[in-house]
Amino acid sequence: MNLNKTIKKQNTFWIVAFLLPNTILYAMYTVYPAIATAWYSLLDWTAFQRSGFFYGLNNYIELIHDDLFHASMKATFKFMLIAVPLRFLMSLFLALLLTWRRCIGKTFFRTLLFLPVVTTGAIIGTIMKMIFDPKFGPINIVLNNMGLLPAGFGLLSNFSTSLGTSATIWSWKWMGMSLIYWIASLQSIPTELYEAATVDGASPLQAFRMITAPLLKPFAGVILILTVGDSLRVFDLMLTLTNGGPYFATEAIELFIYHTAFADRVPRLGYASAAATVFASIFVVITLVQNFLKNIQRGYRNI
Amino acid sequence: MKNSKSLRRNIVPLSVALFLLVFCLIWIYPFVWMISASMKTSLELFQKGLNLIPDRFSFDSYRGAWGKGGFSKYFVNSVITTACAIIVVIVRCSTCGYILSMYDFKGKKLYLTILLATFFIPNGTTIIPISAMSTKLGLMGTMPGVILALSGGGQVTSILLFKNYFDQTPRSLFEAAIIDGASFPKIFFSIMLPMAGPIISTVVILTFMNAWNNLLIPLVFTVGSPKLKTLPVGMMAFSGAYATDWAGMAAAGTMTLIPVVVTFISLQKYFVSGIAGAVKG
Amino acid sequence: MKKLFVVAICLLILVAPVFAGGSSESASKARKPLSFWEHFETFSKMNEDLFREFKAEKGIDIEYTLASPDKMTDALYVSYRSNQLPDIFTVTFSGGASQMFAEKWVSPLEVGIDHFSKDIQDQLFEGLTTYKGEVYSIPLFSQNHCALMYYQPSLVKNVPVTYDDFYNECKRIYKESNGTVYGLILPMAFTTRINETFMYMMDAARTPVINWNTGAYQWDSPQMIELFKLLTKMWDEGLIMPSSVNFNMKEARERWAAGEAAFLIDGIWNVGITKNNFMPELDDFAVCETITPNGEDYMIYSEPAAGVYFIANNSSYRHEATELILGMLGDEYQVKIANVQDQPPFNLNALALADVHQSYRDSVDMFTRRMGVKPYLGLRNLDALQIEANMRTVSPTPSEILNGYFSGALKDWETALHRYNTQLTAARDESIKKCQSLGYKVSFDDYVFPNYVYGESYTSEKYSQL
Repeated sequence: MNLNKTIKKQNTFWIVAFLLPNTILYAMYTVYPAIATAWYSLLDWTAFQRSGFFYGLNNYIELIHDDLFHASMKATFKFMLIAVPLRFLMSLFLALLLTWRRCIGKTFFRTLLFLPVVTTGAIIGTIMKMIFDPKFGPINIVLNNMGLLPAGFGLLSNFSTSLGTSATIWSWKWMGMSLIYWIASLQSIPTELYEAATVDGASPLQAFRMITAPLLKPFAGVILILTVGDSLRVFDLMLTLTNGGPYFATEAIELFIYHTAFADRVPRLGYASAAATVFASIFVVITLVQNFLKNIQRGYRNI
Repeated sequence: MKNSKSLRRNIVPLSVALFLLVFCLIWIYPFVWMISASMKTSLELFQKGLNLIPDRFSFDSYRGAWGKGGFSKYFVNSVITTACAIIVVIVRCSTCGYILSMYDFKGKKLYLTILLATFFIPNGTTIIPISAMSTKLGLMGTMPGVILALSGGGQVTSILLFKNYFDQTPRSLFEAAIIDGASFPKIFFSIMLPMAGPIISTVVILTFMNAWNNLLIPLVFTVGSPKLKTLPVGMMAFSGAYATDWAGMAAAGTMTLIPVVVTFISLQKYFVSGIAGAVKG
Repeated sequence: MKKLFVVAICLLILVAPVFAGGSSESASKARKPLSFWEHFETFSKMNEDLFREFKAEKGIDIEYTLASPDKMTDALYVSYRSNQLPDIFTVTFSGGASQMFAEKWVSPLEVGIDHFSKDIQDQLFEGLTTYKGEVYSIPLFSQNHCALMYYQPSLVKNVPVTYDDFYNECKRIYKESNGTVYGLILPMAFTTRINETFMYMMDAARTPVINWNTGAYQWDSPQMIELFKLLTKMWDEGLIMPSSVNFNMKEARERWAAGEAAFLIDGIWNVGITKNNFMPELDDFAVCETITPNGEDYMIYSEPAAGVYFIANNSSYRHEATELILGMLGDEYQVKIANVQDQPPFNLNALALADVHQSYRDSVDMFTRRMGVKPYLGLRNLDALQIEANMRTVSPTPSEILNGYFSGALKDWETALHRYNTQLTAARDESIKKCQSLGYKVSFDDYVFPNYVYGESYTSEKYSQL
């Protein structure tokens, strides 16, 4: 105790010095932009003007009545509901196979599955548009021949299927990342436990349910949060894949912000900033509440 | 007798491998398509879309892409910005993670909470204030400007990676070093940081992927100085206003992919063990 | 020792920008190149010659950037705010020119209006090329529209004139090819372009989307409904290529050139672009006039010609840039413009000296026979341009409504069109009120031109009769 105290005193200089690089960069590139965005959201500011005029809460009032904003909030959450479980479960399944003691060619398969992760989203979008082409795209040819899809049905060009299809493509692109998370988690589970279980005559499924699943629980929480965070960053891919269409079906919030701030007939920075602020606030609040609840829980446990 | 037993023993791993093989081939089909497209003409692409084997093998598009619009120069720029971004990220995240793990200070909880709270902020509009600030600081259109913007963002994951890793290193080691009278930087640089090898390689890969593929930041920062363009920015030239140079784009895509795959393969062993620290929460 | 090291690293991170700023500053002291951005891909080759001559004459290098139109817009906004607009640039936002002058993005040319000959002076308009009496740019292209019908003669037997002709021909092509060749391809993802096409097609249907006599919007006129009926029927019968829903212009043209559909509705630049990228000989390539409901006589209206190249407000090469831009009106350069078969040259006499495809001549011929100048708000009242600049976006727009039908998102497009017209009218009223509160002298009457007659060009004399 005493030791720690003296260390602390001596080291104030170093603590500050070590925290400085991160604090400066963080303040410049994360905190300042967040505050600036909040300020811009109070301005009436088109992209032609060098600076905006104070506009009060009018942007927010307009946002409440904007059907497009509602649609894009809905699209974002729907996208999340489809993509997150898909990526989460598919990667878990593959990770279980790839960490299996007797699996052949682990590194090879891992690299192949990781390939889409490291490819630029814009290229993936362009290529996938061709792969899903209703006329000569391989997906359509296969599904048409199996009689699962009427000829000329564009999975990406149909209002009811485009969001699901793009969420699947997104999951495909990022699955490799979750796979690595899962493999890492599975490797940190001591192998003796399995061996003991198999000796006891448990089937692989039983072993998973009784041993692996409970141990994976804490990892699963973190992986889920990381995946949810990722599912908000779809800009590069979606811009080339659908650009928010057809009929706003895939206009995720990042695209809405981009379109409002840059691509509209009259680009409006203030309005786009208001949308960004509303959206970010939702998640900041969720994070804070979650942290708060965790602390309360911890407090109870300590009692 | 013995043979059939070993066959039965091996039948499960073999069928799993077969399943994975088929699965992975379907998985990377788009890449096979991309490579095949890099050797076709645009019209061939649309008229015989499914046919993976081109009429004739031609590497003109690769040669063309390398020469066109100074792709080799973009490549060098990409390497420099990415390498520097990685160094900055490692420095800022390792030092910060170390303090957050080893020391208590006033406001530590607040510091952590603020870090976590910004994890979900969408990137959409941040580019506007960032470019405004960079203009005021004279960073616009300069290499350090690009590097700082690439390494300046949240980086919450990387900080937590370091923090969690240092949390898990035996404290006795740290205390012994203090009793030995080792100075603060000495403990960090010669004892703690070298132990964090797996985390460093993980952060290298994560930063590499982000910096190497980032389009928006280099695009905005280099609008006025074409000499600083990076690969993804240069790649836009292939997807021109009027027509996509499919072969050129696919060739360029294939070429940008190679360094990333090499980095991944060479670091992946450490990468996986490094990630394990992160997901422990 | 180590202490020093860490402090050094921290300092380095902080100081690096200063060094960088310093070094780039000193580099720019040497004769810095003139930066030149444009988005006309077809022009880049011929401009290389221009730049070479310029360098030989002035000893100044030109730093050339060819940008795709969508990226160009972002790039301009960002570089404007960071004071690094290129010395010369083209703009991609239509209708934003007057805003750009008002917000001082650009600096005027070094010459006044009286520098130009009478026939060119007649073509300079406030808010398009001039602003408060100063000339900011010059028109380089003559009047044109983007509702021409390009087709492949090997597929099309009967060149269509009316909606029915068009429908029957597309149906025949689709049937006879067993569904492998579609009738029409539409770049539905390029919503602004499709809306523009609708606007021109409504002119051709003798019902412009603004009734200039009363100032009322009529995006939901019976003629518009008729056009929608045609397109939705064609879609239902599979005559429009299904992936049109996701296509931008580039993809639509690419697939049309590959022979997957017979018709493409596009502007005259289609000739040059198709030649450069897909069909070097243009051997299976022709153009016909915009289709109309029943084949009546018609006129298509467009605004007077806008400026093309602009000089940045902070440019240190104003003098040289002025010379460069003025040179583009010269005969030699005008012939070059015709030769690349993109936008038609301002001086149509240049066409006689140019080596161009028959379809290019045909297209220009259609423009000269069929086009007129529409009433231009800015000429009567410069403030009136603020109305549109301050108007909020109303969506879904007609092209989005049609795409909504194509993609299965909505069935009742007719109600949606009526709703769009109502909301657009409301948005304009709102904007007029806002402009008035900002001190601009505007009113609804700015949209009313009682002496406008369909079928006649709205020339300068008409304004003086008001």
